[in-house]
Amino acid sequence: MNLTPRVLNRSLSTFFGAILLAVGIHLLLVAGVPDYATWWRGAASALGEIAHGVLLATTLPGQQESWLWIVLALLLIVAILLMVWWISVQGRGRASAYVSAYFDDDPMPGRVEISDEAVEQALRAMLGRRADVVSLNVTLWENSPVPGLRIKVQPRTGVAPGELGAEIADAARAAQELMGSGGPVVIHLAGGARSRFARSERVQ
Amino acid sequence: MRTGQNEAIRERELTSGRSPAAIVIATLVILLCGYALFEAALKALGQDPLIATPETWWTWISLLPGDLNPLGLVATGLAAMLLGLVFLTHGTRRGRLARHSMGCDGAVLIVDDQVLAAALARRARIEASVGPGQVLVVISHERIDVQIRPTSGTPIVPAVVLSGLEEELRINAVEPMPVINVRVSESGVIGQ
Repeated sequence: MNLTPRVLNRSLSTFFGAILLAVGIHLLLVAGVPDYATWWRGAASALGEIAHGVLLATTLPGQQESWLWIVLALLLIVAILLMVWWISVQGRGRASAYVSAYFDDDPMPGRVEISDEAVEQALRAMLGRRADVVSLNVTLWENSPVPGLRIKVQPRTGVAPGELGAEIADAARAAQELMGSGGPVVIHLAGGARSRFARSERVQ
Repeated sequence: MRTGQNEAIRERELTSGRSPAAIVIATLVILLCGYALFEAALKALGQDPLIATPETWWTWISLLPGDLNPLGLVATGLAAMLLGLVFLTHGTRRGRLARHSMGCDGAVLIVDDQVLAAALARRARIEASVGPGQVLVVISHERIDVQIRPTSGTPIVPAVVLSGLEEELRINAVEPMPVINVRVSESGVIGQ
């Protein structure tokens, strides 16, 4: 669970996918259909004439090249920066502190922070030693007003997931009460490493 | 409001965020724009081009197919089309992950299909009273296939196994309820 911009990812994927598809179809048509190739040459040369005219009109006196090239370079820089930003927002949205509150108490005011580790330890203590859980790990995601808890549990093979999930949910509620905080809870009962890549699961 | 938020979280957990496609597309665009930027900057400064000037590129594009090998052009076109289709499907399809969601009080409970399949296999083994290795459970999104190899001489009633598995799904409150298919194979194995 994170705050990856899914709508943006999907719309940009669709947009660039459509452009690539159009380019591919164009190349196929140019190579395979002579009439289309003739039309394309005509259209392209007309377009080239217009562009040439614009470039000539925007060349300042005493200069060799049009200033449009500088504008184009700036636009390309903006496009590159936007793409870098797009990559950087993938998988963002992890919170580091579950509780971060300032208390203005009289003798010693200060800030109290509770990290995800503390929540994990509290959960472990509440669940106790269990034979049906291989590993447990807590991460937080940014959510207002309180960060969300994501509890990833790897159960042993064959454990009834509903029962285990309900017990972990109870423990999570108790842990939240202990921390004096709330927020949404996600419990993810995960299989081994291969479940990340497999589309369907086969178990004997 | 709480249930609406939980619904959104559940959808987020059950579907793919399309990050890999996003990163691949962004990298491709950065490479292309970087090259174009380089040539445009050289042009603006009045320097010699790196590979070809923008005009040369344009002439080459506008004269397609030109004197290029048509097979190469077709191959490039096909590759671009396929890549475009892949990105397009990534953008438009829901991208269901191999997970199921279960009903749970006050929390969103997400279970990997592997875990669910293991639980169902255990239940099917008990219902059919067969040993481990005689039951195979395959889960794909809304469909569960159970294949049982009976012990020789001990008949298995598929309906019993089916009702047991359906009860297991109900106890675990899997939403939405998948369709179960139980198949008992013709040949048995030597008893254990």
